[in-house]
Amino acid sequence: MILKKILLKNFRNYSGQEIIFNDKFNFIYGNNGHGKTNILEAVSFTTFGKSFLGAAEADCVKFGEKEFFIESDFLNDLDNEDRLVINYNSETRSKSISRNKEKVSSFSSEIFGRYPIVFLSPHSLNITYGNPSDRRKFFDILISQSSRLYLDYLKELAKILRQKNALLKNYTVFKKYSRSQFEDLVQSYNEKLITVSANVIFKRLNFLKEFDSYFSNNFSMLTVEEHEGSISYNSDATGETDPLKSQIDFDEICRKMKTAIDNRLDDEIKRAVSLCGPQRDDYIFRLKKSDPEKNDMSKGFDLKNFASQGEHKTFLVALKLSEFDILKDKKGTNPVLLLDDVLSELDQSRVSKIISHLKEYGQIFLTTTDRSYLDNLGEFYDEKEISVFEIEEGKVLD
Amino acid sequence: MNNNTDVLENLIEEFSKLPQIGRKTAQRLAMHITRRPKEDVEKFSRALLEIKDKLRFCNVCCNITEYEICRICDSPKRSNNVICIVEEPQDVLAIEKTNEFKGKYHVLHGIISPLDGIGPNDIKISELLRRLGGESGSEVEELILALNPTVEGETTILYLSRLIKPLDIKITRIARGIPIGSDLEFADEVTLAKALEGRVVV
Repeated sequence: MILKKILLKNFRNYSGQEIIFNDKFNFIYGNNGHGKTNILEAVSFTTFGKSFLGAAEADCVKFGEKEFFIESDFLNDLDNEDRLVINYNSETRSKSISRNKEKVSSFSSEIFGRYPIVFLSPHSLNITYGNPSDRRKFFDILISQSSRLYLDYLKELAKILRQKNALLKNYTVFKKYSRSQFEDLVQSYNEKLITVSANVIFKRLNFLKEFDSYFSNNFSMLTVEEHEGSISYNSDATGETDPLKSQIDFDEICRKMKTAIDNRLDDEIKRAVSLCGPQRDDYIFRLKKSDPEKNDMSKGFDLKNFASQGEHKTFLVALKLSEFDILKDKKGTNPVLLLDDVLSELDQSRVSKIISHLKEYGQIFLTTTDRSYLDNLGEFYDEKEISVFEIEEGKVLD
Repeated sequence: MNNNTDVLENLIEEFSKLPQIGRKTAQRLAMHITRRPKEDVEKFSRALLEIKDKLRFCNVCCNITEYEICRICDSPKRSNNVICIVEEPQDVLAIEKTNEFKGKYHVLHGIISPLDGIGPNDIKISELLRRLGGESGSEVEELILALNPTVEGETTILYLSRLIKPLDIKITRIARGIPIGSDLEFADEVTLAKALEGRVVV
């Protein structure tokens, strides 16, 4: 899939700008604060209906204006053109998205997962550094793009939890139901919660199993030393599970989930909130160095607490490139790769490793403050395969 | 703000409280009423009042009726062995249209949803239990739960089945899946996946 063209109106610091992109490599450079990332953010708006950086729509409207407008033209592998338009009005707080002039809702299957995009920025480091919720979000979005059913389970889970929390609150705080009535009610919700939770965990574990082959390839490609990265899943119900080493059995997950949920019920009643379920689970990133003297822990150490900044970045890049690979296989088309200011974060040996592999990744957008990376690229791309955009004050210089 | 007289404004206000009726439609309806002959309007308002005066819940199934016991519950042609449990009276109408169900109904008038403050006491569950424990209750062999396939519907089903289990009555729920007469390729992924989940042996 190729992004041919984008048109921005009153988006961030752009008052009006049309940019025609290169099918291969788009090198966007300029000083900080001039609007390089804004272009990538705009791309995320049209394909995801929201900002990858998690910004509120209202903040994306150009200062002093009422609404922004983004129009992007995609070309799929069969040479069909799709025009996605998003329009947000900060006065009415309304967002409208259309595809080829027909209105769609942002999470409809018309849009979601249809224009695969992989976005890597310093902001993405939340995945390895941040809270469990950041990691869940990363994988949830990724799994949902290939499984609508998973997305449906997540929605169902959220609904059950809202109801169960209301039930607990009604009982503990407002003393609404009799004890026996409450018991029957909470057991009904738990029964439903167990099935949906087990489905979510089952899907996550199976996804990790599949993801691992992509990940270990990318990870070893990026590391100079003999390091091994692995991802395991940690939940109240199952404990830490390495999806490669353990049997993933749905009924077994159900049983464990039931025990875990039953055990927490008294606490849940006291605190009037749900305390157990996949909404609290985490993915654990582990790094194993093959020097047995320095590191005798068989499963490697937890990245979150013990890794260096460089190791975090390597892990993240490997995660993102694996995201690219798995989306490519699932969607049957090259996702668009957006690299926002990532090279400056990495040391030279990793940068050249990444650049030498970039050619395999279809259409690429790269933002940087450092024009000199362009010289490295020349080795791998023809002159006409690279378009260079210099950004200044919300404008692309000619 | 508007040039309408107070009485007219009043009527427009009342119409626009009805479901699916916006301000413009309400105004059109009100203007229409002003042009009708008086006896027509009297008939209309009588019909409205009668709904409140004469309609009540059936003593047995809680469906809306004019009588103590509704026509379905009173009919000797309908079997006492099967009771179909539905959320709202309009669901009875929907199932009746099929002409395939010969049992009786029980209308819950809502569904359990703690978020909306609706608990078991706010819907007709105790009436159902009383009915099953009553003299005709022993005839009941099967309960069909025909609730909507939402989280609230599903948990209400689970709750009811917990309550009814000790009574040793067979409990079933209606199937969900692919609509009849449609093509598999047009079904959305979730419906299709759930239909696969609920597959039956041929």
